[in-house]
Amino acid sequence: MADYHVYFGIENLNLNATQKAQLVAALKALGPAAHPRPCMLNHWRFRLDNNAAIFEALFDETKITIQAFKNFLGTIFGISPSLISNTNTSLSFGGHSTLVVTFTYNAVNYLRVALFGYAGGWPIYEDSHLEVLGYLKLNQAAWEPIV
Amino acid sequence: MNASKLLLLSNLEYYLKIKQLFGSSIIAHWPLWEPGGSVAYDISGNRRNGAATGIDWGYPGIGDGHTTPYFDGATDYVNVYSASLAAAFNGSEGTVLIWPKVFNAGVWTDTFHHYICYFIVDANNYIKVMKYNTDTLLWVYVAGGVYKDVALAVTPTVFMCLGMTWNKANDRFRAFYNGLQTGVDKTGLGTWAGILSANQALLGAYNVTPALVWYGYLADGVLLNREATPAEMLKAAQV
Repeated sequence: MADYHVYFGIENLNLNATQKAQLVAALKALGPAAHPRPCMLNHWRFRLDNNAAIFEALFDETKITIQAFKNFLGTIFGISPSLISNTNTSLSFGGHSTLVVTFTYNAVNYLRVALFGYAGGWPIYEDSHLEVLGYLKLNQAAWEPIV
Repeated sequence: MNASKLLLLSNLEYYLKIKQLFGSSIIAHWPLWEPGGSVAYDISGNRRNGAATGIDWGYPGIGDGHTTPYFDGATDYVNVYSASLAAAFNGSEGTVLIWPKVFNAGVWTDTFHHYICYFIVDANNYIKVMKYNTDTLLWVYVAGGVYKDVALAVTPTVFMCLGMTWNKANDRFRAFYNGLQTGVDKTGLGTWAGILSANQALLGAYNVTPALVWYGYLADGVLLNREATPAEMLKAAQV
């Protein structure tokens, strides 16, 4: 087990408002309870439509695995996590690799997770950061208001 | 000011220079030099501390012997709102001073707007300093729905001292870049109304979502309740 200072993102595909709130609350609870560096404490931003979020912290890698997200969803749905399937895609937003995972239950896609910089293992902070910046740039209209 | 007093100012630590220049006119001064923690302390004596989210302390500063925090351009900001700040903020006359530095040259061309500081009541009353579009800094003063701005095309990768002053009675808004006024006096100001919004008195972002996050470093955010003179702004830009 190791801790990594990285970013991950979630996008709600079909969770209802209560389920989404449960998931967000569970994700906000990740990361250290205290740290002298604010960047290591869990913090987040929401997409303009409030249906996606990006989290940054010093995460315990075991808490942000595919299985961990299945466990979150299993709790939310009140089912065994084994009933939740996933499909993985590797994308690049900022010169590195990001694992994008879609979680499905009963043939319905409920959640998409982007593990920024993840390529079989978590990278150094800078790689995860470049990936999240690249993602935001690619999706600027959805994340940044017009001023 | 005589030569001996000028010499005295030049030998002061920067934060003391600010104190000596502006004294009781300082509403808040957030040097952002903390070694750690989630509080951005106001050293004006008014205790209008800010809350730091996501930033990383301890990066090389403006040359005053202190450090500055890093903002990641994605999730970081300092929320300096307090009821005390809202009560003290003077939208009819005041000054903002802040030292930003972009993370690298690419920030100037990254297509994002990056907010440096933002103090807003509503869409009709706000001030802001930001990196706008490509290679441009933008200073904005809006009061009573009357929009005034100054833009400057620059691309430095070192710390800049940015300032703006506004004075309804004298009917002028001025922008300052490294101590010198940029552009002309903007006149025809509207009438400021309302008190600051709790969610948008910020250093380094547009809101607490956060959106339009600064990407780089920020130091020494200063707010005054009066219009600083050009001579004072020049001195305040010298470490």
